[in-house]
Amino acid sequence: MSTTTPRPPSSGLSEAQKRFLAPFIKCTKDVFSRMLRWDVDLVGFATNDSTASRHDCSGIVGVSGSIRGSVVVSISSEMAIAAAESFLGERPDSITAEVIDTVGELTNMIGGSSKDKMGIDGIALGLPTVVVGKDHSISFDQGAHVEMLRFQSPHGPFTVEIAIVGLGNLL
Amino acid sequence: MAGFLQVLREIIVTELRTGEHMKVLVADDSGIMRKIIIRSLNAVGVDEIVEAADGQEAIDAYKNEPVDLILTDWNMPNKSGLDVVTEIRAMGSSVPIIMVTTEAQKSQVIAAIQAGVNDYLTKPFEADDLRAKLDKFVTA
Repeated sequence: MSTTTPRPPSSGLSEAQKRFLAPFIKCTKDVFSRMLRWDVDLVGFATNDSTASRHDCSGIVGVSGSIRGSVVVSISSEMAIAAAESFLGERPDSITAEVIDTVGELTNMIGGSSKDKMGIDGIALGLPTVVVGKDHSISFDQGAHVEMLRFQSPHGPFTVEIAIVGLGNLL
Repeated sequence: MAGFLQVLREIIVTELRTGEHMKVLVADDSGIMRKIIIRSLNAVGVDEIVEAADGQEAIDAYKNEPVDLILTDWNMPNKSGLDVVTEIRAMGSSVPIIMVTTEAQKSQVIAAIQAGVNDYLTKPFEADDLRAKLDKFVTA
């Protein structure tokens, strides 16, 4: 697995990578825009960077079927609370079950809507799970190709990782 | 006389469909999504809500307590939203059902409609999208 440093948007990406990542970028923006009315901007990429840091709350949804892997959406506690506040109309005072649910549902929507725009038949998503804690680690399947997208929201930065085994000639 | 009966029928139907007299089942394994949907239902005057956190709970809830409208997610533990629709239609029920889901592939929408879904809303959605769907089934 090669290691690279984060890159600014679009620089150094192959055409195949751009095609593969386009649904995830569009769907992430759509989810935040439509559900929360937040404008989020893509600010960087990292490919197969095992040192790339995540935030306190990570939603994980498994991918199975014709390709295998997972989609991880990682956001800070503050951003998760702000998102839950936007959904609920009142601000949770800590990482409550509703805040965890918010992270899971955002992950589910980003993974689910991206899946349908990938142009690959026979992909299924599992139910989302959420990991909370500073410096938590997530292990991907051996041999997974991992792309990390870095975004900036009005409530801080967050990442979307796509870790897939079996992409074959797609990348 | 026929005209009078028609007017009377419309009054009764409108009364039955008025939000404050409706009971709605909301099935989604995400508590936050149930709350988002319930807020929209409250906004159109529906206060009597039955919640289910998975497909089996939704089916059991409907058996125990028939409702006037169902909103269900597709991907849920135990039984899926598609199972919910199939089983409720197998009971002979014609209750309106709206599927609210990230599943947006044409084949899935067709499968849901064939199972008996009345309407379909894909996540992510804006509040107005959900409101427009509810307005079709709830008269404020």
